[in-house]
Amino acid sequence: MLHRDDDRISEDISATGPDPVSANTCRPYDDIVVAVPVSIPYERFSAHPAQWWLARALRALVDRSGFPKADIDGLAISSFTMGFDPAIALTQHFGLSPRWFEAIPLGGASGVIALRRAARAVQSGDANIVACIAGGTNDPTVFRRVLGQFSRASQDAVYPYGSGGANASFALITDHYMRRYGARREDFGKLCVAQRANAMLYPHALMKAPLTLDEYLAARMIATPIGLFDCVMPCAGAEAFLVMRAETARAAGLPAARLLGAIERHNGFPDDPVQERLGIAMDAKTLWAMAGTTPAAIDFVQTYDDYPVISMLQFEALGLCAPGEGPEFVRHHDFTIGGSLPHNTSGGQLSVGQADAGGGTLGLVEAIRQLTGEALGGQVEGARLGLVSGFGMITYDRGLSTAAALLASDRW
Amino acid sequence: VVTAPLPPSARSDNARKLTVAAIEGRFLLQRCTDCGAVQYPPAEACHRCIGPDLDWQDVDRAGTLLATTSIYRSVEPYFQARTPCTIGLVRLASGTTVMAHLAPGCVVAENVELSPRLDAAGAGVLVANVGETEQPIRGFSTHDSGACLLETAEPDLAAKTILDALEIADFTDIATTPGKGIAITARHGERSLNVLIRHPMEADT
Repeated sequence: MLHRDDDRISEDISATGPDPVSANTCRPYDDIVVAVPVSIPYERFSAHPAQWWLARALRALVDRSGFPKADIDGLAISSFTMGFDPAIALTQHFGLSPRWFEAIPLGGASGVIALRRAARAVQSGDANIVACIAGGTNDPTVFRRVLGQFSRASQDAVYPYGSGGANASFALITDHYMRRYGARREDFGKLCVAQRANAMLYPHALMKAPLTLDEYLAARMIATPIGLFDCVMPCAGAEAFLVMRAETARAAGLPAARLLGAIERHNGFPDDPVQERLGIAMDAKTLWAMAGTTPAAIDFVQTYDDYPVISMLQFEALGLCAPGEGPEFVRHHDFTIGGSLPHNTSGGQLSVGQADAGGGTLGLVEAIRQLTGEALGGQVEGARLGLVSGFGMITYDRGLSTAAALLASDRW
Repeated sequence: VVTAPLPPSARSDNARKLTVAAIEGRFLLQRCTDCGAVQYPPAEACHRCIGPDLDWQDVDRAGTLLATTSIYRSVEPYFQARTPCTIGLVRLASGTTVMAHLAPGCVVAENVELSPRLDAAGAGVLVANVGETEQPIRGFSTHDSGACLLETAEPDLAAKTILDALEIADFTDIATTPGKGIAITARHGERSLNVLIRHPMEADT
């Protein structure tokens, strides 16, 4: 649990971006809630296509919510592995006739952004209950094809240079960050080791063995300075949740977490020679202002941890610490369930696995569980306020999409 | 037919210009004719003013190496046989960041010199070197005043990559001569190109 008087988490977010936008242009979310956290247990490889995994998630949403399928009148889908099926084909496939639909191909930012879109749709009455589903399948040939054809810039100007995939691209970002801000491999290792400790309690984690810092440091190099335990394991699986009004959840008897604020920013700070700031730093003040609170109040944070350097950049961008102070921040905190700042409390992608675009929803689903007291693994005692952030879409040399949300329990 | 693995050669039409630049021995990047912004990777509009008129200009080869990585795990068989593959991000004076293969001796925060080179697939790639001398590095050709020698395990496939690039870049009078390697000659205005593509085992004459 994070103590409000902990002077190591900032109550001052002046180091982040410009002043918050006015309330007139960024209205509060009123009584929008998220509920019914669903995780379809991951498998390293799967012969089933993405559609099978997404269907299981939708079925679980229906079964666990008790809502008839026809009551789900909004659908948001994120997946990279549906083959040549456009996302809209899923409506016919699943026999849904939604009056609101979004395909959100934003990888690690897709969970928060789906929530953001869905919340406004429900708030405005364009939908009553939106199912947000993310995930997909994994087989090695699909993975290679996705890498080589991820974007035109990647095909033209990244993939021909060693074909190291995301590992190589993030190795360059990590190398730069270490040189510029004095981060050490031990700092990244501390995040990975803490996540593994959290994952030991989470039943669906693909990584079942404990991890020590010595093992982290001794692991073979994948793309220097990134070693084996800095990398996620691609897998098959799905994550999902429902967005609705608080009264809808109450009437159905569903535990829910309230959306206090959410931001997104794409291609932020394009002139940074190497990515070292995330776009959401431009909007962090807006996020905290919407929620009427400060970073010191959070009980946990779920970052998009495709590589530990990106978690550090999210801490900085969201004002948990100042820009460039990520390494020092990491050295001063304990990120395990019972620590000073519980982080990626189910183990994150680094320990649970990266189920295609589901990796961008893993942390959000875990945040709902923590705030509704439904944790499948370690429960952060009395968690009332959670921060979730997303990052994704490295089409050339940097991740383009960033997003963050603040969620609160009914005790907030 | 068993073929030796090659580096990935799929490119957009615009990016194939890098193959021609490699054969010409020039460091060409896309530039906006309206505002003069230089950009990379090549695109369909100027990232600064959204102008649609882009041409290719010789730009300063000098840059600063910002970050490097040595890749030990590649998904492509060609690179798997050649790990570690060392690449880096290089900042050019134009404010553009490019990804490049690194020749030995490149040091972070120091100056490097960029040149496009043909890889074993006949596709243009950027290589960063140190100093004036073009350092031949494994798998890449050197250029020599308009004549270009490419040694590759798959001369036919590399020749196809090069011919596609020449056609897209509007080179005319393209002629190929099989025999001791594959010789390609082509012409575009005042410019003529000569490329010899051969297997490393074929004797030089």
